[in-house]
Amino acid sequence: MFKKKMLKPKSLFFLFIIYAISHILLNTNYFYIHFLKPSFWAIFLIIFYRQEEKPPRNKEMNIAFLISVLFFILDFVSGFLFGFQKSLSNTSLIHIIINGWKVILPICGMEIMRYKLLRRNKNNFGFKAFITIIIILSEINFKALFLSRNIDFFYYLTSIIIPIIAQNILCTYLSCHSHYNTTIIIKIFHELPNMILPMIPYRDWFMAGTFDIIQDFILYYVFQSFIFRKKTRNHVTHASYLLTIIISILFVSFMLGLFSYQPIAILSNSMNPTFQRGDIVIYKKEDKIVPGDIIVFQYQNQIIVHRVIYINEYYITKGDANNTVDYIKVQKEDIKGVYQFSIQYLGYPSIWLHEWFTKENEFARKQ
Amino acid sequence: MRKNKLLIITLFFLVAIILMAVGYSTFATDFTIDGTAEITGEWDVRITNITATQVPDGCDAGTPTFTKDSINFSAKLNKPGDEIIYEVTIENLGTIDAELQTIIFTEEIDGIEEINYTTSELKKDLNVGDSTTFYIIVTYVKNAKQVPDVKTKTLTGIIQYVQKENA
Repeated sequence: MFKKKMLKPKSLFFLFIIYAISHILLNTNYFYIHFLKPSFWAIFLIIFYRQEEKPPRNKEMNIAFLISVLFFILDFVSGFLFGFQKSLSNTSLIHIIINGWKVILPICGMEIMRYKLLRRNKNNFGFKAFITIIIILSEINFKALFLSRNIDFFYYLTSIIIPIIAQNILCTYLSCHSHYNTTIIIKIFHELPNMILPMIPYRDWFMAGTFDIIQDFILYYVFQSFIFRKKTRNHVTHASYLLTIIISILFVSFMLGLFSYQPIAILSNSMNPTFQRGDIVIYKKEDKIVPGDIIVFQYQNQIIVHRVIYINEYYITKGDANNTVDYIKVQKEDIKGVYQFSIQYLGYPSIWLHEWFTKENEFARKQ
Repeated sequence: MRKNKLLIITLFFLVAIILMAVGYSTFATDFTIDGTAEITGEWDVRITNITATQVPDGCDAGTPTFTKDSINFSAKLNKPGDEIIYEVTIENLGTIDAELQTIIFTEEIDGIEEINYTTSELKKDLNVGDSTTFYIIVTYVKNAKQVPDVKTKTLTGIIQYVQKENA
């Protein structure tokens, strides 16, 4: 009798708020991350499993498992395209167990909590939004707000915060229509490569962010269109979902340079009047370069788009609007491609973002 | 309601992708502007004129031509002692003060001895807006005792102005 009272909706909500506040206050504390947080969820799970029946193996869980395995394989295979890097975690058995304690337990606990809280409030949009926001806040590392450079905050926003938001919207949606085991599987598979693989596919922040949210959108589409709404689905909705997914995948591939052509934003007027600040230049990977070609090349951590004026053992380049040749000796392996055409004004959002990047993080500075 | 929900989720997804793409494009071109575009002054020291100022009777100074960094003339001398003088003007039309670094004139190594070239000195400092003239004197040597079989001789010159120190 006592056990049943422990996990009543009001007690659960109270526990949830206590946890969220603790997390916001302590999320950078070593003791909290390694002991307090997992212990909290371990106790919660013990109480939960003593009073609840085990969830049935349901169709949604099987589908989530299949899709997650498919993403896991695709993710690994992409390493052959982009390269591999050493896993961020130690993959010895003892560390896998420690990571399981630190990561898997909180995932299981939080998803059960989400499911239990939302079960009786499926149609209350405000409550669903509130729970989702609190869970998102409880997964964010607030240390990132104190990063000194705006560009670092942007990296954290795009590669961590936005994917966390996308994943939690998906999980809230699935929790309202399915059992908690579906969302647990999706979240665990998301963490799995880093925990068990000694080598993981290389990801920069752009790949990490876009790959994650595309995966979440595909999952949303599959569950929405084929599992939960089978009877009401229509062709227009299907077409719009598919079109969005295909265009997004093609767009991300284009940005990553998986095709022969790749775009780049121009931030200076050194090639005026051929193209100017605020334009987007499309360049093509080409081996044969002759004087007069405008090449896109890497110099240290910069990308420069200038014209080749002379070729000896190096490529001597110059901006059309500059008075002197570049002091850089460009080598063949530094060349990323040859200018094809430019699109005016499309690069201005990049310029605005660049101006913001170069400023210090005001929030961090005031601290 | 369902359509609105779908629209919101799709919009969130697309805006997130576009935001990342804009950032990625910026990241890739970070500091491109700093390549060599920081030169704000304009360098423009050039030849602006060449004329023949002295042409003795029976000689032909031709029609000398010039580009901003080269001159070309063809002098026809009649008899020993004839001299044609070419006046070349160099101007600093840019916004950076210049100073003379190199001046070398070399006559054709195996050229005939009967033709001589003499060049005048050049102004050392060529500040913004300044101009300088120098002279190339082509002489049919006075004491030449024979008319050569080959009657041409090439003069090659390098005049190099560079940015003035502290300019």
